[in-house]
Amino acid sequence: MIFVLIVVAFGLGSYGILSNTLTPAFDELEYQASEADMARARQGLSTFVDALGDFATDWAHWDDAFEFMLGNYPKFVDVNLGPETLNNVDLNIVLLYDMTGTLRWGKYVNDETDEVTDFTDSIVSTELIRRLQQHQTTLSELDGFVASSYGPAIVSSRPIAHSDRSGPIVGTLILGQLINSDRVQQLGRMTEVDLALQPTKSVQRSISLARERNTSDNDVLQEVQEDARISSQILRDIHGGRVATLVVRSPRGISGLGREAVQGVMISIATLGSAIIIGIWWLLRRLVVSPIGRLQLAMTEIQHSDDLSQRIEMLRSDEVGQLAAAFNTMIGKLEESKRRNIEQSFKAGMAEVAAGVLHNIRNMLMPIVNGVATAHESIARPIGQNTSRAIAELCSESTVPERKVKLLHYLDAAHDEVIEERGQILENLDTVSRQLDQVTRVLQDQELYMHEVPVLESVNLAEAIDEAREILPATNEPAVDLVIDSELGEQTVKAHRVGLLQVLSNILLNAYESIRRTGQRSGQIEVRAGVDKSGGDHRVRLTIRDTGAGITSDSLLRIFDRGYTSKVDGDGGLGLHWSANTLAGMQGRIEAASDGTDRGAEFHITLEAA
Amino acid sequence: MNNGQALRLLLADDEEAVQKIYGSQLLQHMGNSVSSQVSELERELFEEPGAVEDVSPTTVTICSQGDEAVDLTTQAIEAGTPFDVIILDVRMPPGINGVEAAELIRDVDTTVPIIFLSGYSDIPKKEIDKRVPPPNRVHFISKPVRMAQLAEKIREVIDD
Repeated sequence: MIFVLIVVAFGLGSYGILSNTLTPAFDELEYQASEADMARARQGLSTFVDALGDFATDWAHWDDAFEFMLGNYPKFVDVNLGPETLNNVDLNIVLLYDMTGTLRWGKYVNDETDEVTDFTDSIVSTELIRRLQQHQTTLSELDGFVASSYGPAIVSSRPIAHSDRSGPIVGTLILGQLINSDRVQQLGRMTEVDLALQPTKSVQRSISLARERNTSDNDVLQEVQEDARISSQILRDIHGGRVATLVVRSPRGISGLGREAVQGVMISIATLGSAIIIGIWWLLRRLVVSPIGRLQLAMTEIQHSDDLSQRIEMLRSDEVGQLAAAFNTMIGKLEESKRRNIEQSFKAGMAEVAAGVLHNIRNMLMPIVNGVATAHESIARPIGQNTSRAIAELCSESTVPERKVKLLHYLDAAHDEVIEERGQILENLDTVSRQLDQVTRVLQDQELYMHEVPVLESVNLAEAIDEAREILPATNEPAVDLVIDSELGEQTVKAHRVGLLQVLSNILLNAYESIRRTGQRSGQIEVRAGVDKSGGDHRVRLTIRDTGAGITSDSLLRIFDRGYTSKVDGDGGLGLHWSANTLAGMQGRIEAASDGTDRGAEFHITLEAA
Repeated sequence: MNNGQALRLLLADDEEAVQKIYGSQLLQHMGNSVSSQVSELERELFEEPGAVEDVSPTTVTICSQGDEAVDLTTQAIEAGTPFDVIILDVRMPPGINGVEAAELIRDVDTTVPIIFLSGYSDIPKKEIDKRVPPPNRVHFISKPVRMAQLAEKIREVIDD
């Protein structure tokens, strides 16, 4: 969403920059092009004026015309200015005035009908005609535009003189060409400008527009329309009077190109932006969102299942893959921590229980031990050790009666003390009996705790053996080679981890001791595992075989009995009896096998597969 | 150490059965004579006059809690009759344990031999040596122990 906003902002910014830089540049180019069109149109009109001026100069500086004005060549007009000639030279007005301002000859040629009629004052204002006759020298030239009753026209006025342009000035020649539609089209074709000459009404509008915009009447006005720039300029007659407005229409191709360029750029930006957004969205979804979703799902699954053995399978080397790997590592450490915590708690609990039991039983043993000792001492101590001597003296006649009486008292007291001692011994034995009952109750209480079996968990046999082997002494006498089958890593059983570790440690230590007892300098303990085919359930069989002293057939029958030990010093440690009971608590079983003395031994443990 | 005078023992143990043993059997093993009619008549009828050895009797003060042991020790010091040996159980719920009691006893008697007699000690011996100095005045015996052995230990401690 943020990225979409960034792309939109970038697009709007680009549009603003382009609109404020590119578009005005194109507008300026278009304005300049429009001005150039107007200049070409003006130049075209000037070409018309110049051409008419050249024509007027040729006719005015002509001796025949000079003589006509002096009255010496009356046939001049008939010979040179007949209707056919006037039509051929494309003139609309031909006027010859003498020096008094009197029209000596004047004609108007209708463009449409080619009809030649006399010129009248209503066609061009008298005042303008008078001004056109004001030549001071023979080289004087007056060219320009006039408003005629037939529309705007180009006029050229020349003083009539000799062909060599020498004086005196004998009159004035005025030629006029109407700027009709044909001539406007010709001008357009010549200048390649779309132009028009607007009549007086439009002239007034142009003037008022110029005034509104506070510009001079002579300025070129530009009006921007949807599809074109309209340039207009007032055409004035030779004395400043308004004649018409030259209007040039310049198509807005340039600014249109600019707008198209901006639009093109904006479309490109929009297309590119959309493509980038879609691409990034796709990439984000594929590379980030989807993997993170899977990650979250896996995390939730682990959270709900509370199974810390689960791992997220994500074979990626990017940040998400690294995140998954880090999560797996964290879960692994958490699992290890949890396992150790359970073990620690269990061990601590066991230690606490053991300490309590130890304390209680040892306290109870105090009266037992001392009761028995006292009884023993009482029985061992002779009471009335002189009784035989006393009896002998009593039987002797030489004993005086007084002593005999005391001797009888002595024998009587000794008898009483024997009776009393017997009573004390019985009392001591009662105490011993009561204390033994208490010991029995304590042990019965412990049996109740035995039912508080920890929850079985999945235990990998290779990991268990790896931990249990730490109990083996790090000595080279004997050098015991522990061979562990690689299959162990594939086998996982349901067991109480701590209990199983203690059982395995016990068996490994027994195997080591058995090898040591052979007197050999080296031996081997082989550990292997596989599916227990004899079991109906899916069970795993773990076998630990040693090359030690072996077990006799008699011993095999008693090896799991309580208190049995094959060790010389009689220290049975936890013992196989305990191991068998512990395994039974995990729905496991242990068996022993041996081919006899010095033939080694095998212990088989079967447990339910996880 | 006691110069032939009567030994004064203080024993603290929360087990009533153990207290009874202290009160009877220990005293016997400490040499306290048990006077009876039979023994008196034997001395009169069969022994030479003047052969009777006069043994100084041992007195035992018994309590069941650590703080009681501390109070009794303080009182004995104040009375000018300090104990010769103090025997403490380590676990004596619900009060302070034997080691804590020994630390407090050391505040009032810095040299009295102390024997820890316990079925189980949560506190390692090294730590006890640090907490209850000096180490040569602190001894350990595990239960169960015969009173003859304990009496022998007491005599050994006194002779040191």
